[in-house]
Amino acid sequence: MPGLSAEAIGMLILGIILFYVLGLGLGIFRAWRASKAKRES
Amino acid sequence: MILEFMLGYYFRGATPKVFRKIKESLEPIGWIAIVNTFILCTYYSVVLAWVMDYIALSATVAWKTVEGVGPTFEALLSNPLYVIIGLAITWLISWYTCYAGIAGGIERACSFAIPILWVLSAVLVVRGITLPGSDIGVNWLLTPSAQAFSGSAVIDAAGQILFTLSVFGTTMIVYASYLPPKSEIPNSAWITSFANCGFSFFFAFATWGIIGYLMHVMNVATPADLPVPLGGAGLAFVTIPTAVTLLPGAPLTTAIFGTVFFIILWLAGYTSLISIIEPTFKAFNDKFGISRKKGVTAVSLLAFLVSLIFAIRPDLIDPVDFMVGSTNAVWIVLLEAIIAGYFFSLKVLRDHVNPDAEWKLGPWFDVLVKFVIPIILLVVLGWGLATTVHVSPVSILTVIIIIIAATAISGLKWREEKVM
Repeated sequence: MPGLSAEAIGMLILGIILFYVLGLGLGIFRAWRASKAKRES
Repeated sequence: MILEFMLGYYFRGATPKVFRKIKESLEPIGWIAIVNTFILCTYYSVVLAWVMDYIALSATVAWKTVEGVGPTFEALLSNPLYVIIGLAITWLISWYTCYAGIAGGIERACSFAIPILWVLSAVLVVRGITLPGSDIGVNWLLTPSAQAFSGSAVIDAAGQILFTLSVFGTTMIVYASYLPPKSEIPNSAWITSFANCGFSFFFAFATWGIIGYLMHVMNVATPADLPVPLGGAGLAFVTIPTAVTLLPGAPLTTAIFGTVFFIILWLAGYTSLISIIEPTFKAFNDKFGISRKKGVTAVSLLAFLVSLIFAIRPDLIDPVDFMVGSTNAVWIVLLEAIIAGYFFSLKVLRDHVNPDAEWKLGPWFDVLVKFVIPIILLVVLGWGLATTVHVSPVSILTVIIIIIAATAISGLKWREEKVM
């Protein structure tokens, strides 16, 4: 989609960071770290 | 979300039981939440029935041309027979899912439906954003507009996010009550919330890519100039069918992508419907000791009968939804925060979940529940209601029915608790 405005690209990046990196990604990382700690203890 | 998970996980029951254990006189508020959810599932199932009918209508491209899309939807609304058939099938599937139990029914259904939902959505997103003009729609999706801000928009948004997360005082409490001991509560609530919002953000590209294509084909500058609705039922049942009718390669692509769209919608709605049947059953199970099989059957049958009213009179859905799906959801979450924050110890809840939590909840959580959330919700409610021009008599009647039913059920005697 070459026609996206700079503002829209900014919001897209913000959405990806918010929902998938800081949100879902961080949650899955925490769950992985917890299960790893349980396995090792 | 975290608070609802904590309440269900700590008290091991549905909302009336939770509130009663906090303070006996608070039980009616728990039943208000349950009756509200029950009414929600009655009209929500009618929308799902329309979606089910539209799976068949899309597969055969029953509207044939763009001009036929609007009349097809109007014909469906004015012919309750087809809606009732879709309703009966939807209720039969949902009843059986809850009837089959938590692991054998609800968990199995979600494990099956959610991956399909993601795969089909990915197909539609790819098609949506590769259509000519899709960037016009996506630009509209991603460009903030100050003009869209109003009191009623904020209350709608608040109701929508609470509804889409199933945070309205019932579903998440009951689902969390089924979790085994030593479960990770805060992070599970975090993942649940962001998985939901992540899906919504993802799927929006399919919808707005397709709307952008429609704007391109119809040569209009803004979505508001489109001769089709951009919100509510009209978006799904008129706008999307109009857009897929104009797809390159139609009518084959119309049938394929139209059917995919409505299957996605039905699967998303079906997993929501079972999550709003379950708390009603669980509340009656807690109070009267009624078994799963009898309880789910009774709740589903009663809900099906009530949903016939909305199948025959679809014009009642909007005013009832304004109260049940938006306003009451906000009220109930507000009361839930006040009850948990001021009538019970949040430290007890935190101490219960923190030992098994990867992400520990500190005193900041108490400040959120006691002050920040109530203030935000009060502002949202006040602003929303103050700027709502007219509250329909149907909306007011809905509130009266909820209060009478909740008070009546609260007055009935508790039986000895049964372990499910």
